[in-house]
Amino acid sequence: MTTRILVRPGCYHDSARLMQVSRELSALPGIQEAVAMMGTETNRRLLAEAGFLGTDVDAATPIDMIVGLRGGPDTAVTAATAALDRLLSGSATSAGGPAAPERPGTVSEALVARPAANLVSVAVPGPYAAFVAHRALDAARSVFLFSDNVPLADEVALKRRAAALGLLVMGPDCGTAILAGVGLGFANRVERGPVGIVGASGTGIQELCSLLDRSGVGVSHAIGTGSRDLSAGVGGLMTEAGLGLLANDPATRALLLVAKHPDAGVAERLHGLLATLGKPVAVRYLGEGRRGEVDGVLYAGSLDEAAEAAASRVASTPAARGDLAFAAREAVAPVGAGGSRLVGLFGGGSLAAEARCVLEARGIATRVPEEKLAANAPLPPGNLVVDTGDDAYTVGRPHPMVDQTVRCELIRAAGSDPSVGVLLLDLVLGDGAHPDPAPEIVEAVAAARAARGSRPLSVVASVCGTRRDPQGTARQEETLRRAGVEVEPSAARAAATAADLVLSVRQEVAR
Amino acid sequence: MRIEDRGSLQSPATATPRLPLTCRDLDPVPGPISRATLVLDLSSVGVPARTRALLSGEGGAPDSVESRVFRWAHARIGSLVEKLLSGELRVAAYRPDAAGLTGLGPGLTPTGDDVLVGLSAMARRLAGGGLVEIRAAVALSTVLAGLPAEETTPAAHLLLREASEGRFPAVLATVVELIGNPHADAESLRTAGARLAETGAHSGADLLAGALALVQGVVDARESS
Repeated sequence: MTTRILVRPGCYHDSARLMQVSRELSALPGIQEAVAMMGTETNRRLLAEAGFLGTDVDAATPIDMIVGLRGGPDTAVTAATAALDRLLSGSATSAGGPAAPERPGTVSEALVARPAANLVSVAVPGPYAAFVAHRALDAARSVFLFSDNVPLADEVALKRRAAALGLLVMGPDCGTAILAGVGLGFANRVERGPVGIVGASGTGIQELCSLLDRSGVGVSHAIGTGSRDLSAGVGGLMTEAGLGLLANDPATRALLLVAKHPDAGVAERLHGLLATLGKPVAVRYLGEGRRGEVDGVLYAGSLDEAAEAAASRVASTPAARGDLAFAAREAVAPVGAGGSRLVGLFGGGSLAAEARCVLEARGIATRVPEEKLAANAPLPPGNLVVDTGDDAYTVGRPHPMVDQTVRCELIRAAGSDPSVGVLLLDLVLGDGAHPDPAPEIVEAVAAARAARGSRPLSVVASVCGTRRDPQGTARQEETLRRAGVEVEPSAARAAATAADLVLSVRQEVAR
Repeated sequence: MRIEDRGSLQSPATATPRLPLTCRDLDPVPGPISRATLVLDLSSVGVPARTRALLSGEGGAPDSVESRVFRWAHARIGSLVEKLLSGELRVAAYRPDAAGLTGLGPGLTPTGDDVLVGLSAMARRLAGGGLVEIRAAVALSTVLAGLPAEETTPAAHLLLREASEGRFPAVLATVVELIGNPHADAESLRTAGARLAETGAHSGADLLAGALALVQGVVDARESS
């Protein structure tokens, strides 16, 4: 009988993977026991007591993986050791089946596999993310950091270090980036073009991409910064870095900046930078009203206005202006006595913020319910705008842009409520998002309408997508329209339409 | 740095990354908790095999590392439960057992840490219901706050810190709030228990073990008295 204990420094996987490694190694011929654990002191003592001894183990730390193997003959244990390395590098298979897709376990493995890569994409659990991102910076690579729940202090340290090295740390909690035409995270398929985007909001970037695409304008690069970049703690480090890169990028002729709730001091400092970039800039701070042009920087009142401003600055012929100044719209069909409340159920958090802002500008007060909405509980009062991508709705399940189960349940529940007259929705398309979202939404809307009997329900949806997105933007829109859903090209436009509908019901009720 | 066109950039896997468990405060206790309700609740919760092994100290192949995890954890859980129920107020009295649990066992949040979090949640709940001395529950929280970061994984350390401040994984909090609650029905408890048990590779079963160990302790103590 041979026992062997192995240490794989800086190598950690989620619990399910650790369990799978233990199971697959245990199933190998001659292996009596195989156990993979993190190298905490307690685990090291436990393994020593169980007879797994080795000098390497003494130096192991809680972020190293330790693996104990027991079996015989010696060759079986050696074979298991080799199998472990294959398993951890992601190329292993349990029963000699086809190789699994490449999924490097560490930054060094990734860089061995792709030495020419100049960026490392990191999506590990939050507490480990800073460690991994630093390894990428060690190797002089920029980082796309999808992970969230990363402590603020770690974010600041990473970004300071990146800034000093002339690298980017996009994130944490960075959902979207498009660099040189390559989408990272949730990204729409855009043409390459003259507009550069820096954004602390994933769906904000996506909406800008979609709006630019609809005007026939492409994107040079879209640099995500992570949602906290413009907080006082982080101080806009990566926003500044991103703007600097785009200012020096000859392919970028106009710039867009999108963020939620910037810190006032940070926004003021950034203004100084924006005003001196030497290229046209439009800014959309979500949730804030229009400030117009200040020192040549346009502070737009909606993502639509910002995108339109950028498009018009780069277009050879001026783009056709939409009605985004919210001038008189065509009269919308009255909804009848269907109820006068509005409920917005969003997948994109930034789009929810944008919609609220437009609704409120049009005199429709909305609120975000304090308690999580539940399909089997009565709706709280008032006009509601809900981000179903909020943590409260995503515990143990994927984001609503990927899995619409919860949102569809809420559409059925809210739509069935006779006091609700208008539902406001968004559909976010692109790589990473649900492969075909419209049919599920349509089904939920139909179920809600059926439950209401003769009382009509108006549904307005925005579709954030480009001509090249894999879901087929035109097909998604057509599916919605055929089901009697009013489709708009942006969350702001959809909110404006929804506001008109609510106001028309109110007028009717008043009459 | 300049942004360069490099054909070698790859799109990441489109899978959504796993989030650590979202934590929240426990709801206030509706009133005193009776032992009779606890007895009923214990019979309603489905107890997974792993949880049972931690509660009994028996499970896994003989002499395997897994069986040792169950034995080590069981001994320390038993000792902590005993101290909580005897109204032990000294923080130092809880420290050796808690230190023996932190970092123990498989997983990105090791079993021992999950057990401590489950135990601490239940201690707070039963303290609110009058079955555990409040200062004893506070002493256990204080110990969790003081466990050294280097003795467990970063994820587990964060979880312990949350627990020491009274915030627990939402899937656990729901179960803990339903236990001993006379207004809750057995079906809700069964569903919430099953949902907790399914969480993670074994974190849910381990959290449940911590919570149920204390409930079992209360029930047993009253029976013997």
